[in-house]
Amino acid sequence: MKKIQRVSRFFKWVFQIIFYILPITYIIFWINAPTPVFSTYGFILSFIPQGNMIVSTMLPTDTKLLAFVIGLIPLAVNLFILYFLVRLFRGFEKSEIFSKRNVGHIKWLGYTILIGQLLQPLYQALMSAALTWHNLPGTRVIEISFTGTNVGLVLTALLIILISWIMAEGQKLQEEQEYTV
Amino acid sequence: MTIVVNVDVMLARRKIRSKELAEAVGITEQNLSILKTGKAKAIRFSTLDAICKYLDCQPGDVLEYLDEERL
Repeated sequence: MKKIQRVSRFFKWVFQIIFYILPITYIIFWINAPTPVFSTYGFILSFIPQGNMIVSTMLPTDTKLLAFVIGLIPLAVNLFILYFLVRLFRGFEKSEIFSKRNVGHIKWLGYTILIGQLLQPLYQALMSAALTWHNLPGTRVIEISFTGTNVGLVLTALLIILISWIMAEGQKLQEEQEYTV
Repeated sequence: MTIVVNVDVMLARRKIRSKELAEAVGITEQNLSILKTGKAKAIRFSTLDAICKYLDCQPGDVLEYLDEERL
């Protein structure tokens, strides 16, 4: 149990740090967009989805603002995922394995990933339209894609939801044992 | 379906404290409290045996069935 607590504490802190850094990095990115963050250090972090669209190297402020707002969709999804991960590992750290709270966190983690992937085509369409709006005619695009990565994440989300059902059964068994005198 | 645990009644009749019964039966006071407040989901035969032995009673004196639909 001590090993689980130790490892859980580590992951709780990792996810908590990412939770705070992610929105800050997001804001920094859009101030300098479309230049990736930390590119001068050889580390590329971009919040523009990969695609075939041509993005101008000098984005107007209104475009940046619009893209910033659109980008809040996946950012919110990622922050929710990190929030549930922090709460989950906080529970594991307190030796709460089969608790109702943890089961809820796992379930909502799965649903959040699923919702994020289902929103992906909409987000991509809006972002590609926003970033290419000021382009020359013939280079303005609306991109929609659903790749193997998206399918993989949808399957992962469904597996996580299934695991939460199994954990719920485990929670009932533990509760029964706890209340057996 | 409701099984009511009447340990409190038997404790009062025998003039025994909960702590004394818990120690005699070999369960914690917390577990006895779970039993008394109706939160228990199951009781072991060994526990029921120890309670009846100490309180000098029958299982029917400690456990009662109440049909909620009829109430």
